[in-house]
Amino acid sequence: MNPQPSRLSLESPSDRVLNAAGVIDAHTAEDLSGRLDELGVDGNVHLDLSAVEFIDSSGLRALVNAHQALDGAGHQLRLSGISAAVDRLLEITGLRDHLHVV
Amino acid sequence: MSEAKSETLVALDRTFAGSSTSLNEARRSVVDCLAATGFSGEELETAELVASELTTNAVQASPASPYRIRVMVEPEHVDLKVANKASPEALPPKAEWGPAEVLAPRGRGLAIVEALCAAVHHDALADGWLEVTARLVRPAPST
Repeated sequence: MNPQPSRLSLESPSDRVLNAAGVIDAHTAEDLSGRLDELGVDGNVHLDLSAVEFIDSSGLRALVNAHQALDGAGHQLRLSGISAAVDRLLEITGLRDHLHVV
Repeated sequence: MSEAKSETLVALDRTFAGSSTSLNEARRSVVDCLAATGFSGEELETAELVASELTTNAVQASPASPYRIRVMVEPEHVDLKVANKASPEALPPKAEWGPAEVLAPRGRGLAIVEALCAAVHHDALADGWLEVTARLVRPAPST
């Protein structure tokens, strides 16, 4: 049986809203970064993580990069659907005090 | 390479291709292994995260070079070992992780491992291999 690589699906149900589902790791984080880059920095971006099963520092890096780009333009990356595990990770890394969790 | 003590159980010993496509399977192997040794809930999530950080570092330090995962189980703790062909200089620099570093572009992975593990160290092995060991305290058995 061939091992399955990490999978991440990104859907945009409405303008500047992104729903992520699956795993955000070193294999998929660039996909997330690419989609966030496509949305640009002209307004807030809402990223829902309620269907994200796992995220590590590679995923956090994508979030931080998007946060900083939007922040620099006077807007926000807003995160929703944070699981308890993701919340712990944000707490450990100090990002809980910086990222906009709604 | 240090000799395993007589009470040490080698619960996992697998080698993976040095590519990000293997990371999911590598994590799953560690999770399945530790679940069988009594890890669950938050402790298991922690182990999965540590495994992901160590294997990601291995893949990024030596792309296309295979990496080996071993899980050594002892009565009080579990050692998660990830080895690949790399020099100690390939390790991310051990930097203090404080308020000034929170939004830094790199270094978060190692900070996460250090924060979650009882101990972390690295050993230079034969043939130019480097092994990073992260020690996790075993959860207390449920009564």
